[in-house]
Amino acid sequence: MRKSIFFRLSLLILFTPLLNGCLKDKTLHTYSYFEPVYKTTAEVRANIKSNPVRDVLQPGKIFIRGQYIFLNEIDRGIHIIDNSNPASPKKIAFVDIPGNMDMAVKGNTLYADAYTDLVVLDISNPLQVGLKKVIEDVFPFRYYNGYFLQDTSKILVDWKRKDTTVVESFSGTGFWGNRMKEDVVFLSDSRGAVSSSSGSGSPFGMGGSMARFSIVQNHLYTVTTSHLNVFQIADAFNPVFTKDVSLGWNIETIYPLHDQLFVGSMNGMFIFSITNPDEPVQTGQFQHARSCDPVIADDQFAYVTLRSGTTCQGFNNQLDVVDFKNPAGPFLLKTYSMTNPHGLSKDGKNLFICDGKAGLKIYDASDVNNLQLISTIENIETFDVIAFKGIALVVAKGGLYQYDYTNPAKPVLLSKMEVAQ
Amino acid sequence: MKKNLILLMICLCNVAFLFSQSQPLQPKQKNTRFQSYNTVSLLTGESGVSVGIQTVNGVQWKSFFIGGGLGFDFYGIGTTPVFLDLRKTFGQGRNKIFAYGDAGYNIAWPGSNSVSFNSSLQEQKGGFYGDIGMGYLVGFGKNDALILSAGYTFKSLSDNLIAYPLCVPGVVCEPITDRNEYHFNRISIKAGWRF
Repeated sequence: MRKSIFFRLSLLILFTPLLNGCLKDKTLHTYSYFEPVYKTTAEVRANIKSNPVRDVLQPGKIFIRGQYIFLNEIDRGIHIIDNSNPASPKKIAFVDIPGNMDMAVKGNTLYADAYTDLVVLDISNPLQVGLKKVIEDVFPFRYYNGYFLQDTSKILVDWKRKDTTVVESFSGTGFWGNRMKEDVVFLSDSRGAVSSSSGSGSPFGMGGSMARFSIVQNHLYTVTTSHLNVFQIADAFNPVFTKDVSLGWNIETIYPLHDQLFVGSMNGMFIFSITNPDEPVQTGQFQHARSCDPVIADDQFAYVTLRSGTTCQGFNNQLDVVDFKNPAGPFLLKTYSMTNPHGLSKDGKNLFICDGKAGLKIYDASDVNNLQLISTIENIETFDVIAFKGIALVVAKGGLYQYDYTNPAKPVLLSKMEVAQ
Repeated sequence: MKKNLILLMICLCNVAFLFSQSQPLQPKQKNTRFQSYNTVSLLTGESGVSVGIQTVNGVQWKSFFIGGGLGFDFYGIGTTPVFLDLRKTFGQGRNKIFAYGDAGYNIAWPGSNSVSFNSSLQEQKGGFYGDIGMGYLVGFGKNDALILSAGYTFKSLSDNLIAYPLCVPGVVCEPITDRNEYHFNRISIKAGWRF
């Protein structure tokens, strides 16, 4: 009897694993994703005008024109800020421009990108900005890193964050593509946020070293990741696309100086002559290790910041001073070590460098072979700066800061326009 | 799944009942004594087959046993269960049927679920551990026995993972957190030695 029971029990134990087909492992996966919000082209264009002010959420590039600051809200539009009193800047309007990343101003005309289109705005009255013209399909189609393909019949205007919990089978650890649905996005974007300074006087306004739009006299120059585009803007409201110049890949920024354009790419800096403004001609090139590299220039030297990071892929964090007296043969004069430099600006002998988490650094650049650090503004993570007439506009993680650098050894914070949390 | 588990338990109880009716009487033993159950287990479930080891140490009182257990469970995500163990034996002979039940906490091994190309572990938490089943003791020596048992065991744990920055232009560009709660249901077959 006992043997029989032992036999039965042993059989039961041996066959028990057959039941495991009935057992399921599960993972409750809680995560966030974003769903795109679309509008029709007509709806979007009808709304490209002065609208009520909004919170600054993700500041992008900046542009100064007279008493106004134009601050890009990445992919959403442009804040217009009355900066007649830098100690108390006031947002006065917001222009909705979905897909906007760059801008430039000439007189009362603002040029901005809207995904693949160039939009022309009349800003003679910042409270009543109006759309004057749209030139379609002059910029590359926006590709997102990830698995999201947008509906090209409409315009993407917003994203809605959604939180969800789903039951999944256990398939190892981490999330290997758990949220790759066609209609949602989970992505690492490759574009850095912001900009810094170029030095042309009124009526052209002032953009930054990270700008991709630049105006020289009657021409608007824009760079995409691979091309330099030329628009004639003699008739300001009716720009005419005249030429595009292939530049290779990884083009990042453009900076004008007199009759030259300095184009920054991840692999180097190109110098173009615009003696004939309709026909930019490359005159020189300075190559460096792969890195993100905003560039500015004065009459003799170009200042190039190289930084590392996921987007830039490089490993260098430095400032290169390049001598371009001979535009056909620019050469590296001196390298200075930095923490994670982004945008930069120069006003007279003062060189301003946004050094990421290391703050804003002000150097005396009287002798480019021996830059002297005058002061450092710490505790802000800086991306872009425009220094002009004693006021430094700094785009940082926390918002838009303004410093009085009349005494560069002791810059004084005038105001801070905070980013909404 | 529940239906099958109930069927399994009914079968095991039936065998236990039959066995208990058939045992001859044995000389009276001490009421309480220390006992140690040490087993190696085969864990099988939807995610495959894995192994575990356990030691349970406690006090036998008449046909009841209460003890504390500790183990290593390699199934799915590696954990260390710490638990309370209750057992009852059926029958009076050297060979006995027993039923057991465990409940406790499951400690996740540090970093055991952080492997991913696009994320890193931020926080890891253990969870409930439970085990029920029946088995057979084949006595030998003075007080030793070989153990063979089968049962159902459950473990859970959770983690928060920090993913690479989620960047949606104009919306957000910051690291985001994913939360996972893992629930593992397994059949366990154990073999070992009691002394």
